[in-house]
Amino acid sequence: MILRGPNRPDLLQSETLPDIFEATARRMPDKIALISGARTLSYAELDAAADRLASHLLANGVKTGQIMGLWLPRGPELLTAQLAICKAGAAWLPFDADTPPARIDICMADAQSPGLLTCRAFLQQLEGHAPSCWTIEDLLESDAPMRRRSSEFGPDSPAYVIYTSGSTGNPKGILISQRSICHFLRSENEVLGVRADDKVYQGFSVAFDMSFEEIWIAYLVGATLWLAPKEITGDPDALTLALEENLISVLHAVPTLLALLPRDIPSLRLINLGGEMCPQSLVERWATQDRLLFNTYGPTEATVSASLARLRSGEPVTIGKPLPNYGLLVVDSDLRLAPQGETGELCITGPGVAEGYLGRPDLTAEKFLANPFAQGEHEARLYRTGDLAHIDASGNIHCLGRVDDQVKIRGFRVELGEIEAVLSREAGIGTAAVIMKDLDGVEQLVAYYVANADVSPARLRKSLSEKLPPYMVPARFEAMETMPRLTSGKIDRKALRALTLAASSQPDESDKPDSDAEAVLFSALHRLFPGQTILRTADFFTDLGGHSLLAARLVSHLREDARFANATVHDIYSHRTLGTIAKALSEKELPPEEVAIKIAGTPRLKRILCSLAQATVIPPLVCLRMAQWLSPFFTYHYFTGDPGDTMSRAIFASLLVYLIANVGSFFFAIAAKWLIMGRAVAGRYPLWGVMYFRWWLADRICEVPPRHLLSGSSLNAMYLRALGAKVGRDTLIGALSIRAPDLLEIGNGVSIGSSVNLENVRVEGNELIMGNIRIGDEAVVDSYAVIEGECSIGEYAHLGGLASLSSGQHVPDGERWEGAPARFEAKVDIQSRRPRVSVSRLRSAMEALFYFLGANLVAIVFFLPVFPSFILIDWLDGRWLNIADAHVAPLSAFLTYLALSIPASAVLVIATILASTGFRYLVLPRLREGSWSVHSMVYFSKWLSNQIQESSLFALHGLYATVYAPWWYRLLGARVGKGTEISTALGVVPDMLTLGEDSFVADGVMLGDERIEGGWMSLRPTVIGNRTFLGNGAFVPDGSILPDDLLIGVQSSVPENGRMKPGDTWVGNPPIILPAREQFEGYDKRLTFEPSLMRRISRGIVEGLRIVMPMAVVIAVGYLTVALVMPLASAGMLLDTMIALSLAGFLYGIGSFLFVVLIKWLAVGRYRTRSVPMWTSFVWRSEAVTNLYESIAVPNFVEFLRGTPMLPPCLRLLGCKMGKGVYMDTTFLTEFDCVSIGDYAAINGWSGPQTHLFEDRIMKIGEVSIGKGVTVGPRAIILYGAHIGDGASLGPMTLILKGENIPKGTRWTGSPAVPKPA
Amino acid sequence: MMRIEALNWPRCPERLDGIALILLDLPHETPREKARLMARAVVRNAAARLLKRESITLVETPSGPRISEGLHVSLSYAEGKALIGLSSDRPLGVDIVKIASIPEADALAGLYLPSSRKVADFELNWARMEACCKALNLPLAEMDEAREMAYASCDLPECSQIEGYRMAVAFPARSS
Repeated sequence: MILRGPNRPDLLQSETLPDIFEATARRMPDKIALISGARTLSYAELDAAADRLASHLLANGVKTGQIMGLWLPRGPELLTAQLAICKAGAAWLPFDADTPPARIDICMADAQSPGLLTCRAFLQQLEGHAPSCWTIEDLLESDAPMRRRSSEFGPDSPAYVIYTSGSTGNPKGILISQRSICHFLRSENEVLGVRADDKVYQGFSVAFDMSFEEIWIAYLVGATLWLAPKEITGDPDALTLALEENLISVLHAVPTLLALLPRDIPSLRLINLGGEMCPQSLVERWATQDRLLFNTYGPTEATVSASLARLRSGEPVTIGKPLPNYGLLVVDSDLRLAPQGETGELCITGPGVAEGYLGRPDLTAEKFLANPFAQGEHEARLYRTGDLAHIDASGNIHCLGRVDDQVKIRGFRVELGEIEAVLSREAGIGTAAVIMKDLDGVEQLVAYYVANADVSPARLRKSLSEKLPPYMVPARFEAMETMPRLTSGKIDRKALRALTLAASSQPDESDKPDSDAEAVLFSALHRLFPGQTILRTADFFTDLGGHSLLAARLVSHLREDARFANATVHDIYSHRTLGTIAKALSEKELPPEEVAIKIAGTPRLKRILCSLAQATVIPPLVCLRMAQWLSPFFTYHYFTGDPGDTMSRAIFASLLVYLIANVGSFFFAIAAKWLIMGRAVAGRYPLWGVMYFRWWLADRICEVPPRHLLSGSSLNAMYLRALGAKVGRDTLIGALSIRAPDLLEIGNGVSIGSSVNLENVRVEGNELIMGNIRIGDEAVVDSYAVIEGECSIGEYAHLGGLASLSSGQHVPDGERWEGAPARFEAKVDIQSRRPRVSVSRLRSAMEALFYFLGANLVAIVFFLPVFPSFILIDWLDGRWLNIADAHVAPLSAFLTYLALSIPASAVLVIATILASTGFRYLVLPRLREGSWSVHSMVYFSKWLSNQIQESSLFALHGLYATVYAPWWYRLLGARVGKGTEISTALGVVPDMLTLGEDSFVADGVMLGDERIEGGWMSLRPTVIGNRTFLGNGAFVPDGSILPDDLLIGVQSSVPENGRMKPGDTWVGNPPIILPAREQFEGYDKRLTFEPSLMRRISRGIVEGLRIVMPMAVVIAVGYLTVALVMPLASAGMLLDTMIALSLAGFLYGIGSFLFVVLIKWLAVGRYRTRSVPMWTSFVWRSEAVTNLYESIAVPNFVEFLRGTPMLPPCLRLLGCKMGKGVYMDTTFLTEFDCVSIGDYAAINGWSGPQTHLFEDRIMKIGEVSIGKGVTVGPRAIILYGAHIGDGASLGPMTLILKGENIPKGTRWTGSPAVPKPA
Repeated sequence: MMRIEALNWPRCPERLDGIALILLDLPHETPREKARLMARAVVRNAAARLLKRESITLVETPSGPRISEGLHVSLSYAEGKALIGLSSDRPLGVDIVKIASIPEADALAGLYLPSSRKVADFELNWARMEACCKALNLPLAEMDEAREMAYASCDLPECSQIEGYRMAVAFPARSS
C-alpha cells in the first residue's frame, strides 16, 4: 500500500529561498522579522543587511551554486549571513557553534567548499586547520558596490548541505535543492498553518534541518522569530519563563525538550514535535483543547519532514500521513510493497527526495533507488529511510525504530523500537530505551526509562506482558534519573550498554528458591526461558511453553549438577508443576559424598626416576639442536682467520655443513625414533613410566629436524612413512603435528591443510593414552583442525577448518563435519570434484627432487644473510679489537662480542628480509585468484613462496607483533592499511590478502590460507575491513570478506560472507553472533588508536631492540664459543671439540632461560590483573618479555622440558603457581604470575591459559586458575578470569570464556565450551 | 522403499493406501494450544475426505487423538509447523523438529538417542527417536537397553525434508 499526500501542484512553484524571503519583505517591509534580546529587525532591514553582505560575497568571488561553510554564533548575524549566502546564489553548509574545527575541516573538504563564513571570535579556533575563511566583520568593513546574484541561479541550484553522522563514523553530506526546500516550506505549512501574526521560537541550531521549520516557514508567512539566547536553550526553567514572557505562540521542539518544561504555557497555540519518538505522556499533557500538537517525521535526505500527524489526547502517537505531494510506502527486504499492517522498511517519494549523498555514489545507490511504483515525475526516486514502520487501518504510519535496531532474541526477530514505543505509552514514562545486554551469560532485553511519576518495574512488566509476546518483555526495567544523550540529542545507547546493572538479575516476581533443588531447577529454567517469570505454581508445559525437547534440555542442565545427575524427563512429565518437580528432585537428591572428586596422583618416586632419566638425555638433546647452527658457524671460522683462507671457501664449507646438518637431522630423527620407540601400540600407559619416557624422548627428537620445510610437498608423506605412518598415494599434507606416527593411517588422495594437530597421544589424569587415527581415501582435513586418538574420518569425508574431533568420534563416509566439537553439516558433493591430474612415476620422482632442492634452497636463503654479519664482526674484530687472539676474560669477551653483534644482527635481519623478499618475487611474480592442480607450476611456485613465509616465522620471529610487521607483509605483497597490528598470522597468501586500517590480528590467526582438495588448490582473495579484530587462534577461510568494525573472538571461525554486518561480534565454532560486546571507553585515543609521534618512535625503538637482541645474543655466544673451542679444533682434538661444543650449547640454553627470568622480573615485575592501553610502555615491555621467552628461552631450553616434571619448577621461577606432579606439554604462557595450576593437573599440547587479550586496543590481563587433577585437552584455551574446578576435564580445542567457572569433576568440550555427555 | 512426501495442507490425498503426511503452516507464534486445535481440525477434515464421511469424531487419549475407525493418526508440532501423519493399516508415530543450534545437543544425544545415532544431524535423530516413542506408545525417557532394542525394532521409512526442519515417521515392527 502506498500512502500519498494530497496532490497539490500549486505548492510546486518555480522559486528559490531568496524569492520567498524577498516576496515577504516586499509585502510587509515593516513587519518585525527577528527579535534578539533588545534588538529587532524588520523584514526590510533584514533584507537590506543581507543584500549588503551578499554583495560583499559576490565581490569576493562567490559563485552561483558554490557551497559556503557557515559557522557563526547564534544571533541576528547568523541569520543575516544565512540569508546573504542564498541571496548571493550560493548554498550554505551550516556548522553548530560547538563543532570541533577538525570536523569542519573534514566536511568542508568533502563538500569542496571554497570558503567558510565565520567571525573573528571563532577564527583563532581554526588555527592549524585548512579552510579559507571570510569573517563577516572583514566583509562588512570593506566597501563593495551592490551586486545581484547571477541569473543562472534558480530552483535547481543547491540550497544547503547538511552532514549527518554515518553509522560507520564518517559524516555524509546531503545536498538539498532550492526547489525541494521551497516546496517543503509550502507543503508543511499547508498542514501546520503558521501565520503572519505568530511569534515563533527559534531555538534549533541551523545545522539541524528542523531549523527550517522555525526560520523559513516564518519567513514564508511573515511571522516574527524570537531568537533564543544560547543560555536558555538548555535550561527548562529559563526557557519556560522566556516562552511565557515573550508570548511565544509557535514552538518547534524535540519531545525531550518539551517533556522538561515544568508547566503549561498558555500562549503556545501550536507545538510541532520532531526528531525522535514522541512518548504518549506528552500528548496527554500538551494536546489541550485550544492547542495544536503535531508530530513530524522525516529524514534530512527527504528535506526536513515527509509526514505529519496531529496528535490528540487519548489517541496513539503515530507519524500520521504524508505531507502534500509526498508519498510514503512500506516495503519488505526484497523491496516488495508490504500489505497494510505488515511491518517493513519505510520509504519516501516526492519532490523532497534529495539527489543523494555528496561524493558517495555507493551509499547513494544503496539508499536512493529508482521508484518502481512511480506515478509522476516527482515520484521518480525513492529514499529508503532505514526506519521500520507499519500502516494502520486508518492509514496512519507507525514508526517502530531503526531497521538496524532489530535484534534476535531466542530466535525471534525483535524491533527494539517497537518495545520502546509500547513502553513510552505507559502512564508515567517519559523517555524509554531498550537494549540487548549480556546478563549472566545470556543476551537479554533491558529497558531503561525516565519516569515522571512513580512507576514500579513490576507494573511495567505486567502491563507489557499483556501487550507483547513474552520474548519481547524486557528482563530488567531500570529507572534512570536522566537518559544519557549524544550531542545530537539522541539517546546514547553505547553509554547505556556500558552501565553495569545491580546484581539481582531475576525478574522480581519470580519465586525465590527455598531448597537446593529449587535453586538448581530455577537457575536452569532461567537459562532456558530467559526473561520469563519462574513461579513455583507454574506448569512447565502450559505456562512456560515447554515441550519434549525443552524438557530434555532441562534435564541435561539439571544433570550438570552432580547432585541431580539422576534427573529424568519422567520427573518433568509426571510432576509438571515447578514446585512439585523440585520436590521430586529433592527426594532423589544424591548425597554430596558421591560427588567427591577423586584425583589420580602419581607416585613421587616415579616422577623422580623419570626426571632423572629425562635430565640425562636433555643435554644431548639441547646439543643436537645447537649443533645445527653451531657447526656451520664453527666451520666458517675454522676456514677463516689463517693466511691463505678465502672467504668463498669458508662460506661454501659452512653452507655445506649447514645443509648436511639439516638433512642429517631427518635421518637422525627417523633412526632415533625406531631405536627408542620401536612400533607404538595403542593403549593406556602409566604417566612417568618407561613407555612414557620412550614416547617422550622419541617425540622430542622428532621435533629437532626443520619439519616445516617439507609441508605441502610430496616429501612430507615420505617422512611420515619413514616414521611408521601408513600414508597412501597422491596425498597432500601440510604442516602438521603427529604424536605417534605409527598409529596414523592416511588413505589415498587425502588432503590435509596446514597447522593440523593429530594429537593421538595425550595424558589424562595419571595415564598416557595412545590411540589410532584413520583418515579414509580422498578425505579432506581443513587447516587448523585437531583430531584426538581413536578417531576416524571416512572416505570422501571432510572435516572443516578449526574443527575438533575428540576421542571416539567418527566422521562417516561422504559427510562434511564442522565446528568444535565437530558435527554433521552436509553431505559432500563428490560429483562436483574435478578429476585429479595424474602424473607418471618419473614425474613424481622429479617433483620429489624439486621439493628436495627447493627446501634446501629456502634453508640457504635464510642462512646466507648470516655471512655479511660474520664478515662485519670479523672485520671489526680483526682490525681493532683482536679478541679472538688476545686472551681476554670470557665475560668481557662476551660483552664485546654482544656490542659488535647488535649492528651485525641488524644487518642480518635486513639482509634476511631483502633476500627472502627478493627470492619470493623471483620465483613467484604475482598470484591470481583461481584453481590449480597441485602438479602445476603455479602450485610449485606457491609452495616455494609459502616456505619463505613459514621459514620467516622462525628466522624473523622477533618481527611479529611489532610496528614493523605490517611492513613485512606489505613487502611480501599484501595490502595492509595504516595503523593495523599483526601479531602472528598463519597461512597468509600475501597477494590475496587485504587488511583494512586500524585492524588487529592477534596471535596464531589462520588468515586466508589456500584450500586443497582432491589434488586441486584454490585461491580466493581475503579482505579484512577497517578496525576489525581477529582474536587469537581465529580461523578466516580464504575468500572471506570481513566488513568494518567486526570482532571475531578467540579460537572462532568466520561465518559465510553474507551473514556478517559491520560492528558484529562473532564467537565460537560454528560462530554465533553476540548482539553487543563489552565496550572499553574512557581511554585516551592517543594511547589506543591515535598514538603520538613520540610514542610511535619509542615503540619502534623498543621493538627494534627486541628484534635484534635475541640474535645478537646468539651470535655473541657463537663467537665466544668459537674463541674458546678453536684451539682444540686446531689441535685436531675432534672428540674434545664435540664435547666442548655440546657443553657450550647446553650452558647457552640454561643461560638464555635465566636471562629471560632476570629480564622478566626487571622489566615488568609481577603481573597482576589490569587493563592497559596498547600505546604504553608497560605493554611493549610485557610484549618484549613474551617475545624473548618465545624466541630464546623456549627454543633453546624450555621446549626440551615439555612433558618433564622439571618444567613446572622452571615456570615457578617465572612466577607461575604450580602444584606438585603437574604434567605440562605446553609452553604457551605469557603473564606467568596470573597462572595457577593445581596438583596432578595434565595440560596437553598446544593448549594454555590465555591471561591477556587485546580488545579495542586495550590489553586486559587477568588470572586463570586450574584446579587439582584437571585435564586440559590439546589446543584448549582458557581465557582470563576463568576457574577450572578440581578434576574437571576439557576436550580438544575447548574454549573457556572470560570469567567462566567450570564446576568440579565436570567434562566440557567445544568452542565455546559446553558440557560433554558422560 | 519409497520416500514419503509430505503434502502442504490444504493439499490432501483422496485415497489412502498406507501412509499420508500433511504439513500445516502455523502463523508466527501460534500458542501450542491453538496449534493443537488447528491440527485436530485438519485431521477431522482430511479423515472425512479419506473415509468419504460427513464428519469424524476424534477421541482424545493421553497419547493424543484417535480416530474411531480405520485410520491411525499421529501429530507433532514445531515452531511454525504442525505435522500430521495418517495411516490406513498400522499405528505410526511422526515428529517434526525445527533446526536450531541447541547448545546441549551432545549431552541430549548421550542421554536420549540410541548409541548408533549419537552425533550427526541431531535434529533428524531427535525426530526419529520421538517418532519411535510415539509409534511404540512409549513416553520419552532416558536411554537404557530395553529402549535401545525397542527403538531398533521400529521401521523408519525415509521421508522428504523441508528446509529448516527435520521430520521422521516410525512404525512399530510388523511382527508385534
